Amino acid sequence: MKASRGIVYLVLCGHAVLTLFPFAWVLSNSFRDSDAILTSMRLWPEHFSTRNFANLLEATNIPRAFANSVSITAVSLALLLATAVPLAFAIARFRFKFAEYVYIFFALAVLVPGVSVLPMTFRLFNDLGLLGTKFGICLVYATEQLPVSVFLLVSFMRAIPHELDEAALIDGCGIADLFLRVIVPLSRNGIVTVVILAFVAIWNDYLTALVLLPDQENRTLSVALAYAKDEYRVDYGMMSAAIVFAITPMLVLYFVLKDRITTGMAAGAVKG
Amino acid sequence: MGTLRFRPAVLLCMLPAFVLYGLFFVVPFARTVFNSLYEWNGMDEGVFVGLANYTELARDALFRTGFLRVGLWAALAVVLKVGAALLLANLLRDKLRFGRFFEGAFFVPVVISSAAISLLFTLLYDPDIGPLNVMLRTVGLGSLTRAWLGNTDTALLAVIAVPIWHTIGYFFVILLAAMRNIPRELYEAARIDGAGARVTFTHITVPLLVPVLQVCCVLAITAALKSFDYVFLMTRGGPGTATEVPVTTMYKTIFVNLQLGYGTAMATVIFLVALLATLIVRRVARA
Amino acid sequence: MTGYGTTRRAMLLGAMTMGLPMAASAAPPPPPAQKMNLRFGTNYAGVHPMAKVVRGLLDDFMKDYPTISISVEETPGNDHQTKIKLDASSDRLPDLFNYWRLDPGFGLDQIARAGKLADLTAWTQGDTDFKGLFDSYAWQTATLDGKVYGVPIIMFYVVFLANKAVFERAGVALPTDWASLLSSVKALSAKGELPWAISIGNDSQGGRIYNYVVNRMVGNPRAMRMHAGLEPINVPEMVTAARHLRELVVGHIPADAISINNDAVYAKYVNAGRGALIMDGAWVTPTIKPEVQSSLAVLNFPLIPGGAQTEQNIERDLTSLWYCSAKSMRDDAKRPYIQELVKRLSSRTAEKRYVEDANQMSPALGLEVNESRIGRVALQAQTLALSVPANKWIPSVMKPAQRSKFEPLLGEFLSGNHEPDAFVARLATIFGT
Repeated sequence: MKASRGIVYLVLCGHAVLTLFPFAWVLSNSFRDSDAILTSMRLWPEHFSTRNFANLLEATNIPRAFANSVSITAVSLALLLATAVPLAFAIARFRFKFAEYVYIFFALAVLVPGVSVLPMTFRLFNDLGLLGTKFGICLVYATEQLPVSVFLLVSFMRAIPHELDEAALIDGCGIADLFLRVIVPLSRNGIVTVVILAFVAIWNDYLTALVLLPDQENRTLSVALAYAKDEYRVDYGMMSAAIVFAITPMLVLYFVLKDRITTGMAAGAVKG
Repeated sequence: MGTLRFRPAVLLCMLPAFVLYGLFFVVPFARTVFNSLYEWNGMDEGVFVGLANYTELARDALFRTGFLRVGLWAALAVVLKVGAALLLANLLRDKLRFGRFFEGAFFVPVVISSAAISLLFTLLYDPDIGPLNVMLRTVGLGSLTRAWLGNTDTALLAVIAVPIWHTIGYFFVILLAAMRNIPRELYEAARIDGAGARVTFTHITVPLLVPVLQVCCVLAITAALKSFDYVFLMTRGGPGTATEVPVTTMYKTIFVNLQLGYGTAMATVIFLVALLATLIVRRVARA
Repeated sequence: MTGYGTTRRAMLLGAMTMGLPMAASAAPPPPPAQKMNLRFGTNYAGVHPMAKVVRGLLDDFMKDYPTISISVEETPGNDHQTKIKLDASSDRLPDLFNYWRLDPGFGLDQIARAGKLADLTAWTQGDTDFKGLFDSYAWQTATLDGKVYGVPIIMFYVVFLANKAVFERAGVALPTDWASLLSSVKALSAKGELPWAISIGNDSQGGRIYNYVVNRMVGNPRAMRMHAGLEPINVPEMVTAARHLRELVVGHIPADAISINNDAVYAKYVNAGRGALIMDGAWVTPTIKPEVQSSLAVLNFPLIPGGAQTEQNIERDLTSLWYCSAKSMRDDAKRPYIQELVKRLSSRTAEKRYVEDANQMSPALGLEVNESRIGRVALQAQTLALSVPANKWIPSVMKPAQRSKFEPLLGEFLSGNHEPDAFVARLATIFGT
């Protein structure tokens, strides 16, 4: 039993090193310059120089891209909630013949890889005059997240006892009151899960932003980072700093909301 | 199904989602299928060519080989990602000392964007500074060092390894949650019957996880089919065409060569293959 | 062809007469009363030597026209092609942008034929500011189907450079002919030096060597016909060319030659003093560090015994032109300012700066430039480039879909993946003969 426990820890530690080593390595390199990086591999820099980061903040558009990512993600999430929550409410709490079809209709998109629709979304953006605008992309992000979000919300809302609806309506509540005062507060957990899932997906998107935000000043963090790859290809220190800059916010968020994120994403996969 | 009586206000609740979904999913999807019947450069009037784009696609070696590469990718993803995740989850099913640490650590990469991960691995694979080559040199295997992404023999596997590494943690968390939902009594009963760890794993854990494993397989396969970022950011389909996959070929066909008809035909085929793969996995899991 | 080498004095006289303001020349428009924004699309970005000069000219323009703002849309390198094509297909081309020639290889011909590019024929032929500024060859290059679409910016030629320090370190003599080029490459490899500092990815320096070897073997006109599908390409001479190319390149390039881009070659190899031979477009000389430049020798790419070319040729052409969006030029409010900006960006003053500050070769006639500002290497290379007849760039006749198949194939071949005859057979499937 002792020996097997040792093997268990060996496997676990091995995988933990495999998982964490790249981050430690790039973090160390972000404080070093290219010459030092070329000379030796270190997980602890010989001395901490913040020059790469200073350079990154001053000479690149990565900080601006960061701000773009924040605002675009926020607007997308608001749009997503404004459309998904009422729809889930309708499907979950009302009795009508075509509810099943509505459900299937929205399930369609889950089967279609977003990649294959994107070129025609680009044309549509062009026809609608949305190309070149900063927030047009939020419509697409919200749409992409809509199906999974609706499924999750419906399953959360269905778990709320139906007697509450009747009681609320008898008490003289309107549908709007029922929605805002009863159902939304009681599906708080579901909404948080949806927001987390959608946040991770939207924040991390690359391709949609690459195609639908052609203007330099609107680039999101992922896209700006990819351009940095071409610009700083051989400046290993700058590249490392750019990567660290891009991943740190997500890491911080993860450590703050660890349980919610892991359970949310696990639930999202299985239910979606 | 809910219990409340239907009323017009319900339509109002559904309207915003329908408008959004109709405009930004249904319309582009319909246009994709429609345009695949045309030869069109996006500027002139398109010419209706029927199924000609599809017959040409059937002969397009690059596109076909792309599916073979994605097939390899999907197979490796299922075996390695689901396999490793299953193993790790099984080790951590019962609470261990430091278990929380490992759970947290394994999931870390999942929250990072594929763009950042791709860049990180571009550095990790670098022939000069990459730890892989540095370690090989240190242990005297300098002859094995190479430009992992720049070598036609290693590029595809080097690329495929990245998304697998990136998302093992995701599958791990899914499977761990599912395992912990298995009633403890089943394991107790098995122990009383004298079953060892291996037997409980194969006779209790895996059979009860089949529905979740099925979800994982579908996710792994469709993710391989849809993945664009890793390939595009690490190799752009190169060296030569060694890492070209259907989505990167489609991207170049549409956005670089401006062959919108031909490219949307590719998009339609990718969709059909993804659909087919999903249905097959479901059927197999049921049997 | 033209230049400011041998014919400078004569040109200068011409320029002085034509430089005088004449009645037919449109006076610069007064600044617009309303605020106006012009979109400027360019790949003169990052380390590109033209970036600074062009930015300077734009800033000067905005100083003279304070109500006009210019938003610069930078996309580095060949991604600029994707950007412009996408912009064209979505009918939002920048008001003004620089781009390659109208050859099929760059896809701008389709854009022009779809009516997205402004037809500049009447303006460029009527406005006296353009009179005598460029020769007829340059204007022909700017013309498609009888319409002038572009205004020339800079010339392109290929430089072939040797880092003498590397040769000395290895104890190898500089190559003088084909045989010594082959033997020196092998000798350098044997001594542990890197013979070629090149990338062999898409549209890379590896392609330049391909052009040279193929031209040397079958001649430039025939090579162009072969790659345009007008003549069989699967012929013994091409297999010989492929064999020569393999001997010259395969195994003598950086380990990551196929995965790094052209710019990275400079940072990683050339400027680090690694790599004996460099072959690239002329625009790169300014990006080479001075201490490396000082040990560079300008070479002729040798003739190949038994090849079709029996005298020196160099790959040289007009490479960059200004183009305007058709929609913007139909806009009466914008047109005068776009025209004024184009004039300024193609004037002799501007062209002089492209030569002196960015070390480019200018297509403008009658330029008086201070040769000491060009730099020794660039000057020697330019002199050499102008002394021999020009070859055209082979991929310019390829259709985009063919180019996107050809370039990866060449990369594979230069990595040592195909036998010469198999490589040529694959070329035949791409170019359809």
